[in-house]
Amino acid sequence: MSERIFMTDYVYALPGLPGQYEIAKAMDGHEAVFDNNSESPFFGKLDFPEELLALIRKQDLKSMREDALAAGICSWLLMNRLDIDKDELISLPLFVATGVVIEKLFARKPKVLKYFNQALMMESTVDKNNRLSRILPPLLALETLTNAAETYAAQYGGMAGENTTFGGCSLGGFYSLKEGFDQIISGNIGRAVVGAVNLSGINSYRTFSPFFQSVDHWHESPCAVFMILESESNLKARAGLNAFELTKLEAIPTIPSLFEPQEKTFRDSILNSSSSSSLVFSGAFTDKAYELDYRACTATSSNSFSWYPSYGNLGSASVLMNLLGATHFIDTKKAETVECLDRDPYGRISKVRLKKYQL
Amino acid sequence: MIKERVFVLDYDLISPLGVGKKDVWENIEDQKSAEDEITNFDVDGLQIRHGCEVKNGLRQLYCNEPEQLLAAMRFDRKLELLCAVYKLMNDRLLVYLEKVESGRAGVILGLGVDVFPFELLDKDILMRLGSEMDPLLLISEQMKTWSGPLNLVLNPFDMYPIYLAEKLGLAAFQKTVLTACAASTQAFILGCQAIARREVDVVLVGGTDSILNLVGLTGFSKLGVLAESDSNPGTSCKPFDVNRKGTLAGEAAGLCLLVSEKYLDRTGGNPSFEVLGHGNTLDAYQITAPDPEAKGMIRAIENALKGSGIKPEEIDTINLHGTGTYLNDPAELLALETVFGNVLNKIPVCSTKDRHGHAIAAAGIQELVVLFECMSNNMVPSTINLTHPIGDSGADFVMGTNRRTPLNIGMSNNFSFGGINTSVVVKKINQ
Repeated sequence: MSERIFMTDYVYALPGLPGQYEIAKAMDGHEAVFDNNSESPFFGKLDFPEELLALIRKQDLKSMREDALAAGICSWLLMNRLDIDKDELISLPLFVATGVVIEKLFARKPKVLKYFNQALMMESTVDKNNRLSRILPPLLALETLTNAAETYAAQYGGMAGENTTFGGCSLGGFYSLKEGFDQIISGNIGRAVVGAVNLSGINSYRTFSPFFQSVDHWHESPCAVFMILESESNLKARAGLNAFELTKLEAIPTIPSLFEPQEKTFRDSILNSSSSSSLVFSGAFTDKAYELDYRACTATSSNSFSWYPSYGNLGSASVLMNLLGATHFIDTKKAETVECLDRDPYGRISKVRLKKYQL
Repeated sequence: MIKERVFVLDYDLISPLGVGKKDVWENIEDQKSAEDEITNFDVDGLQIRHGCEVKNGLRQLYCNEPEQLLAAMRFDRKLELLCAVYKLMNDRLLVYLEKVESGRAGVILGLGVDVFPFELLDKDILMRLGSEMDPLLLISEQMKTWSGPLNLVLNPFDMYPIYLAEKLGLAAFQKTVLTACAASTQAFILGCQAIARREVDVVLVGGTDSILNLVGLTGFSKLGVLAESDSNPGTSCKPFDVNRKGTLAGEAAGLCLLVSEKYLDRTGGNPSFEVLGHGNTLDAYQITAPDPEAKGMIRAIENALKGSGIKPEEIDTINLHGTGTYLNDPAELLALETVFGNVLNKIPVCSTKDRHGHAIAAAGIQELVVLFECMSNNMVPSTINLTHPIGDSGADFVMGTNRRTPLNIGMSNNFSFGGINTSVVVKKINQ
């Protein structure tokens, strides 16, 4: 019989909630970071207090994107409270999912726009190239490094085992969860760290909005989430109690099309195959798409929840954040199991089932 | 730990050294360097003028693709290279894959960052600079004339494996790996692991990348990792040499079909290599430099050997990461000295980046294919610009001329920005 796998700890950062809170704070005590009258597209923003920023080396702050900074801080907070010896740490796996990696070049840096304008108007290629290469930031290659979140998570958390960074949308979060799960099952290790970050912002909007016909009221927020997966034997050995079992991880085998419209909401067959009475769902980027999802999901389960009304889409972090939502459902609504559903921008659907730990 | 045995059934490569593995092999055998003045775009005024480009016409390979895809390829070199290498293998892949259920076949690709092609769209940006909207946003909205997830510019990472999945019916998964210089090696390793744990029977792995564009070239140049262009093309990059001054910008796309033993038993295919083991670790050190003690590199190489169940002296050759940068090469050499000790001087080693450049996310798959071809032909290529090796390890760097020697078990290493370390060990299957 294969090993049972549990989620035993987590740290997350959302707009207004920078990495130090139980998930209840986000689910119960929060206010929506946007309202229906807010601009579209709308993106939330992560802010970290000075005491958390002080954890990060000044040199790193120079080249850190918002998501990479959040990864470093969340990883430090998570690993700082984990009782782990050095031998385990150097073989501790780390699997991370990331979204887009380019920040808002023009929107956030008006000066850059001005200089670009001047450079592009130059007649000769020599002058143009010279000018453009001078105004591109010196740390551009680091600022746009695709594995920056993983690297900073490792640097500030110390994990140094099997690893990767999956991209670039919500299914990447499922792949990182599945890889961590499989590493424990097949690798003779007791724990793994899985994480996901979503930068969101104008580049994410540029990248994904052309997929859809209607993009009015586009809502997306940055987010970082890191969690510990643990085997039952490891959990028992340390007499851990606060745990949630991952009883099902499934990505529906699909061949998406690059040229055809994507699924707009969850199919009935997907919803009806759930054996849980409670659902946490994600996938929508717009109010209209969320309404469709909400109607479909609440028709199946009256206990349904999505982060969308508060934060919009959480991109690559959606699947892991859904799990955090599920833990709250289990704790407060006494749900036995919770089904977490995600639909990525290509219509690929993943299902994860979470269950309260019972000895 | 590998449970189900994993085999390499087929592979191919688009490289600055050639279009297709046969071309690549011939140019390696002939000691050719692909370094030359960059022609993809006008480099006048830039400090770095040389790189390794794929110069042979690729369009004839993919000209029958849909118009939307051809339009996107004008701005996305990674997509163009990937389509070209897929077309090289198309007929063979269709034969292999008709013997497996689509739900038992997946695809994993290593990819580099998508950059906006300023050099190709400068006039379009200028036209939109007066608008209140972000000019790049306007371009991506206004220039796309079709619906669906394929964009004209700023394509999402997942699009590339989905392109292959749609062509070949790969339904189990379409994964994108984003770990820079180690990305396609990790794609290879993750593919092996998926087969080893019997999740699938077949995985198409590989990668595509190009940094031969204004933003890529400038970004890496400003970081100080690119060698200044010598007046004489072919000599800029000097891996492991005391006079090394940086790496050489490159591009490539490669694919490799990994299959399980069960698949081979059922279909009777003839694989060329078996994957014996792999290592994949983190430095957990810092983003800008490898750990000078090379602890992560050492563990990656040790894990690859341990998983293979072989002793260090059983390795016949190593294709090194060998970027030619100040920091990578000494760290890699230290890792080799630590793991291989006094047998290091008996293993011929080389870096081929001075010939084909650094293809970043496609570096791993390019160098694995080079290793496969060299092992198939029992030849270790020379590191053509290496004349005065660093250190006093006595490592058997192949210099001057290629070396003919029987090769049965080989290793390929790749290490990434941000301290990601990968190593793969393969064994040739003598037909």
